[in-house]
Amino acid sequence: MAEKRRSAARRIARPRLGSGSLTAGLILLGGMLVFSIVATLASPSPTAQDLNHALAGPGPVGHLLGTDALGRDVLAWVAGGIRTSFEVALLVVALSAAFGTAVGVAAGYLGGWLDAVLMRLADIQLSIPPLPLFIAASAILANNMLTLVILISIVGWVPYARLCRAQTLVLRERGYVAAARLAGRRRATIAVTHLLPGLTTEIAVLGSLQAGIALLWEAGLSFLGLGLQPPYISLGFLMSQGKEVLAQAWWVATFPGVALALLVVGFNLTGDGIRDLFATGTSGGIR
Amino acid sequence: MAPPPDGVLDPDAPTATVAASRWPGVARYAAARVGQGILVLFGALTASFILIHLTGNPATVLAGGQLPEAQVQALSHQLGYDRPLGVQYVSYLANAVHGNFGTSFRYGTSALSAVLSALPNTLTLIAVSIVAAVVISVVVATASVLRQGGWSDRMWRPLLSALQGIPDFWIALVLVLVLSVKLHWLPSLGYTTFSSLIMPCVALTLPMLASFSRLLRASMLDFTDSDVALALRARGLTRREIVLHHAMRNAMVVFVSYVALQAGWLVGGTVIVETIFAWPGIGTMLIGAVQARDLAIVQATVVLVAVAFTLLNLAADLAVIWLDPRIGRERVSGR
Amino acid sequence: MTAALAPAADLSSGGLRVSGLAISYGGTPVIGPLSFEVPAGASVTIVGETGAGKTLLLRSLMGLLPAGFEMIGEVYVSDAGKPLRTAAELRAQLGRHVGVVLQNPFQAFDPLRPVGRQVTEGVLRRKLIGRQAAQERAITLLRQMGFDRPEEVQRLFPGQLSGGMAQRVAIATAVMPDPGVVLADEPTSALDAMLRVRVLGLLREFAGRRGAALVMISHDLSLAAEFSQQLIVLYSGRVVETGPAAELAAIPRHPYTRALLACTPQVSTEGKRELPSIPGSVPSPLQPRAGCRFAARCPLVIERCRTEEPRLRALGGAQVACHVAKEDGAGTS
Repeated sequence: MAEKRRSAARRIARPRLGSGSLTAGLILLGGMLVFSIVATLASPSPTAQDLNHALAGPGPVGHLLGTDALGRDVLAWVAGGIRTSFEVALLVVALSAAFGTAVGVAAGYLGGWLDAVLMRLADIQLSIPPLPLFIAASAILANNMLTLVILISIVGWVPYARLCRAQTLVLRERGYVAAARLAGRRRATIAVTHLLPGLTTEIAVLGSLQAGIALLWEAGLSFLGLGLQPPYISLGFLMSQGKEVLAQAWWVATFPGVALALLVVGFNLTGDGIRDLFATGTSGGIR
Repeated sequence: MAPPPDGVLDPDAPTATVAASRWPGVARYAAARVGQGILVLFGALTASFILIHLTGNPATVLAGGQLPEAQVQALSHQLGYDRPLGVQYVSYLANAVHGNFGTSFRYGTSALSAVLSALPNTLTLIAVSIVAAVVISVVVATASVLRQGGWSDRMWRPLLSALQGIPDFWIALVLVLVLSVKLHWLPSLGYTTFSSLIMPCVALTLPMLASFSRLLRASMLDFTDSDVALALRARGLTRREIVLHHAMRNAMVVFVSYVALQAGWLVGGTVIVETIFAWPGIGTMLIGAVQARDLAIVQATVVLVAVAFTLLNLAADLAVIWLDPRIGRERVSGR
Repeated sequence: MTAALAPAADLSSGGLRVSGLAISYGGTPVIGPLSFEVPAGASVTIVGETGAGKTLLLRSLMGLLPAGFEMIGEVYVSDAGKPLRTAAELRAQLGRHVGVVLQNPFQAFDPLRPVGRQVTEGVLRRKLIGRQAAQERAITLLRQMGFDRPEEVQRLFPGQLSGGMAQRVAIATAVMPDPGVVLADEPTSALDAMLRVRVLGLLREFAGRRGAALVMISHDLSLAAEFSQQLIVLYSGRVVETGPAAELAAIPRHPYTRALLACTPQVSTEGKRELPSIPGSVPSPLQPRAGCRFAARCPLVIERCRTEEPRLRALGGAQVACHVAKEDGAGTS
C-alpha cells in the first residue's frame, strides 16, 4: 500500500533517534551496575562507622566521596544503594507487571462484568493519591523490603492492567486467536500462548518507565524515615542524613541524589528506546 | 467504525432535524464523572479505615507499646475500637460524612479543622508550581513543534528525559545548598515571605516541566502527523497556523486531563519537599502525625487529600467538556 | 519516455500542464516521468492499483512530498502565471489556485471546530476575500453541493456528519478560493455507490462551470473512463498507457489496462461469472527492476520484456508502453 511504503521510506529518512536512546540507557544502567560492584569491593562496609573520620570531605585518601556524620563511607553507601535500587526496581516491576498483566488480560479477554468490576477498581485505586497512604502504611507496618515492594506494587499495577486490557481487546479479534479457540484450546492457554507474546514489547516499555518511578518512591519514603532504614542500604536514607548536615557536608546529600537520578534516567532512556525500536510510522501529515 | 449510510437521496424526502442540543449528553457525561468521584472518595475512606486497623486494634498503635495493658483496654473502649469491625466501619463512614475524624490529641482541636488550617499553604505551593509548569511547558513544546527538525528539537528528548528522572527532593536539597547555605539569597525554612515560595516551587516544577512538555509536544506532533493536518495544509493554511490554531487546541484536551491528574497527585505529593523546607502545609502535618501516632490527623489528611483530588478532577472534566465539542454530540444523518 | 505534447490548449482560464514530472527517492527514480495537459473544464484520471504511487504523485503536485522524496519537472498552473518547479512554489498555490479533495472525508476537518468556520478558514487566513463575502460564498457552495439548509450544516461539528455529507462539505471547502485546478485523491472510495455518482457529478459540474482542470486519482478504471476525458494508467510508478478515455475503454492496448477493465465487478445477466484478478501484486516502485515492471504478471510476456523497459509509443489514439501491444488491441486477453 502506498501508505505503508511511504512510512517505511520515511522511517529510513528520519534520523535514528530511537536506537540512540536505547543504547544510552543500557550503557548507563550497565555502567552503574559495574560501578557499584567495583566500588563495593574496593571500599569498606557501608555500615561501618568511624567517628574519627566523620564528615570528612571527598578526597583520594580512603574516602573518595567523603563520609557522613557517623563516619560511614559515602562511596560504599552509594554503591550499596545502587544495588538495593536495582533490587527494588526488579521486584516491584516483576510483581506489579505480573499482577497487572493478569488482571488486564483477564478483563480484556473475558470481558463482561469481570471487566467492568476490575477496571472500576483500577480507576478508583489510581484516583487515590498514594503518598499519604504510603506514609501512613509505612508507619504502621514493618520497614522491610517485602513490605515496601508490596506497597509500591499496589499502586504500580494499574498501568499494566490498563495497557494489557487495551491490547488484549485488539489482539483477541485477530484470526489466530479465533482459530485457536475453534481448535478447542482452553481460554487460559490461549491467553498465555497467543496473547502474551503480543504484549511483551509494551510491557517491557512500561516496565522500564515504572522502574524509575518505583525507585523515586522508594527513595522518597526512605528519605522520610519510613521506607528502607539501616541495615538496608538505601540512597534515600543517606540523602536524609545529608539533609541534616547540609551546611557542613554537602557531599552526603549530593552524591546519592546523582546516583539516583542517573538510575532513573537510565531506565527512562531504556524504556523510550524500546518504544522507538518498535514504533510504527504514520502516513499522512505535514511533517 | 463504519459510518452510517447517508439518508435516502430522494429530493422530496423531508430533511432530518439538524443537531439536537448537546446538554443531555453532557449531563450524562458529567453525572458519570461525579459518580466516579463519589466512588473514589468511598474507596479512600475505606482504604484509610483498613489502614488503621491493619495491625489489629488501633489503640495498640496509639499506645506505641508504652502503656500497660489495662490502660490500652480503657483507651480502646473510650475510642470505640472494641466494637465489632462492621459497626466501627459504618460509624466511621457516618462520622466522615459529617467531617468528624476525631480529635487530635496534639492540637486539641478537631482533626479536620487542624488539617484544613494547613491546607491553604499546600494549595499555594501547588498552584504556583502548576501554573509555572504549564506556562513554561506550553512555550517550550510549541517552540519545539514550530521549529521541527532543527538541532534544538533533537536535544529536547534526552534533556527532558533526564529532567524527569531527577527526584524533586534532591533538587530541593541542591537548591537549599546553593541558594541558601552558600549564597544566602533565599530563606530556607518556613513560609515567611513571598520569596520563600521560590525554591520549593522550583523543586516541584522542574520534574513536571519534563513530563508536561513531552506530552504536549507528542500530542501536537500526533496532530501534525495526521491526515487532518494534511487536509488543512491542502486548504492553504501554513504550518504555523496549523500548529497554533489547530494542533494546540486538539492537544489541550489530553493535556488538561493530565495536568489535573498531576495537580491532584501533588496534593498528597508535596510531603517530602515540605519536610525539607519546613513548610507549614498538610505534608509536614502528616509526617508529624505519623511520628506521634496521631491517628485522627492521619485519617483526616488521607481523606482530605482524596477529596481535593476528586474536586480537581471534576474541574478538569468541566474544562474538557468546554474544550471538546464532541462530548454530548451524536452523528446526524440526512441532507 | 516523455509523451509528445499535444498543441497547447487555451489555458487562460483554469487549466494545468505537467511536463516531465518525475519523483525519486534517494536518487532512485520512483515515479514517472510523466507529462499531461488538462484544459479548462476537462479532467484527467490517473488510474492504478494501490501501491502504484498515485497518492505520491498527487502529493508532489501539492508540493507536500514526504521527507526523502524529490521531484523534478515543471508544473504550469495557468492561473499562477508562471511555471512552478519547486515544492515550495507548488505549496504556495494550495488554497488559492489549486484546490484539493482527499480520500478520507472523516479526516478532512479539525474535529474540534464547526465545519462552517473551516470552510471559510482557508480563504480568510489568506485574505482572499472579506468575511461577509466568504460567508455568502460558503452558503452558495453548500447549496450547490446539495444541502438545502446550509446555515444549519455550518453549525455542525465534523463528527456529526455522515461520510457523504462530510465529503460534500470538503469539496465545497476545496473550491472556495475558486481554483483553476482541482486535485482529487479517490474522493469517492469511502462512499457507497449511489453517493459516488453524485459526488463525482458535483465535481464535474464545478469544473465545467468554472472552467477548472480536474485531476482525479482512482483505482476504478471503468468509473474513471465514464467520468474523465483523459486517462493515465499507472503501474508501479510507470505510465503504461495514456490517452482519451473513450479510446482506452473501447480498445485497451496494454495488457494491464485490459486486465484492469476486466476486473471491475459488473452486474451480469449471464449467470455467475468468476471475478478475474491479476495474479501477483504490484512491485514497489522503490525496488529497481530491469525491463518492464509488469513482466512478472503479464500474460503476453516475451523475453525482451524482461530486459528492456518499454517506452511510450503511439498506437491508434493512445500512447502505450509495451513491446507486445498492437494497434488493434488484439492478442491481449
